[in-house]
Formats: sequence, structure tokens, C-alpha cells
Amino acid sequence: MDADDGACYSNPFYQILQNNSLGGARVGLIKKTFTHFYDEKTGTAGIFKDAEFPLTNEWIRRSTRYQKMMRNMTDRIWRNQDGTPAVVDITTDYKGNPIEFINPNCTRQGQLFYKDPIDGNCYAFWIKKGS
Amino acid sequence: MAQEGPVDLEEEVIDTNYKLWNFLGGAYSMEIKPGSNKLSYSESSINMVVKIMNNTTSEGAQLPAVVETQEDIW
Repeated sequence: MDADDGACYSNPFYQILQNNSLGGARVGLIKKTFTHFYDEKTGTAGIFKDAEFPLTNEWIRRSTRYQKMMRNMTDRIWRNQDGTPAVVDITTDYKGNPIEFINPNCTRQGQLFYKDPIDGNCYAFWIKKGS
Repeated sequence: MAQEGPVDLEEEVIDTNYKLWNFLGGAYSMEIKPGSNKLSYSESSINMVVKIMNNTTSEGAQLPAVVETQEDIW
């Protein structure tokens, strides 16, 4: 375990969802977590406060530690409410409309781009459906 | 030195947020930001995963007539 001097790290997806749920009261992504708890059997209680940082791509690129954190936080199989693995079509939304994968500003003639972390080159990729 | 030529493509099912994030570029996702014509690193893969989480549902899901919350499209 590493000491982080009062900081903790959180799942970035969760942080954005939490902010979305706040509507007009949305806040920044970096938060101050304040928790209080007590145990009625032993009569003990605790309180803690720390700074909560959602992982970002920029941090993950710079550290294997953050890479491992991201995997541990998010590599969980999607499941239905009954616990069975969920089959999800990520190319369409729940209404059947196609999902736009990247901001239109990031495409050229309908192509999407990504950067290969190994050789550093930029490549286009396509999503093939129904194969 | 990297070998050129045909490569064997492995098929992988995307069934976790981590795989979806990697599919969208992971930590190396890039975008062309407004006012620029160069690709630069961005947080777009994280934002896209959230967008997909919010809008997709599992195959065969019985949706209510009116979808109001994320719970409705589980």
C-alpha cells in the first residue's frame, strides 16, 4: 500500500455519472470525501476526510500504478439484474439508434482515429456490425 | 523491428467497461480539438464509455414504455 497523504482515487466513469445525476448542482470532478461511521456494538465511531481524484487518461499514461488501478476498478463483466452475463450491443442505443463514437470534430470523412500505444502511430478503425 | 505483412486478428468480446475503454483508445485516446487540426491526447475514451453506459441496454431487455432513469434501461 502506498501513502498518498490524504488522497484517494476513484473510478472516472462513476464520477461523471454521479455528476450527471446532480443536474444543475453538478460540481467539479475532484471532490472532498467526508465519511462518518459508528459501531453500536462496540460504541466506537470514526470520521475521515480526504481528497478524491478520479483517474484520468493523462495520469494513466504516465504510471503503471494508475494503469493497474484502472483495471482493478473497471474490468468487471457486465451483468443483468439477475446476475447472468449481459450481452450489450454498443453500437446502438436502447432505442435502436446508432451511437456516435467520437465527437464529430474528431472524425474525417466518417473515420475514427486512435493511437497505438506500442508504435505511437495513428490509425483509423471501423466498427463492423452483423459479422 | 516490427514485421510487416498480414497479421492474425484475435476476436475479443467487449463485456467490461475496461475493455470498452481500451477499445475506444484507453489512456491513449486522441481527438482533434476545436480550433486545431492536430490529433492530441484526450479524455474522450472515458467520456464515451459513460455515454455508452447511459444509453445502451442488454439484448432482450424489457423496457418500460417511458424511459426516465438509468435504472429503466439496466
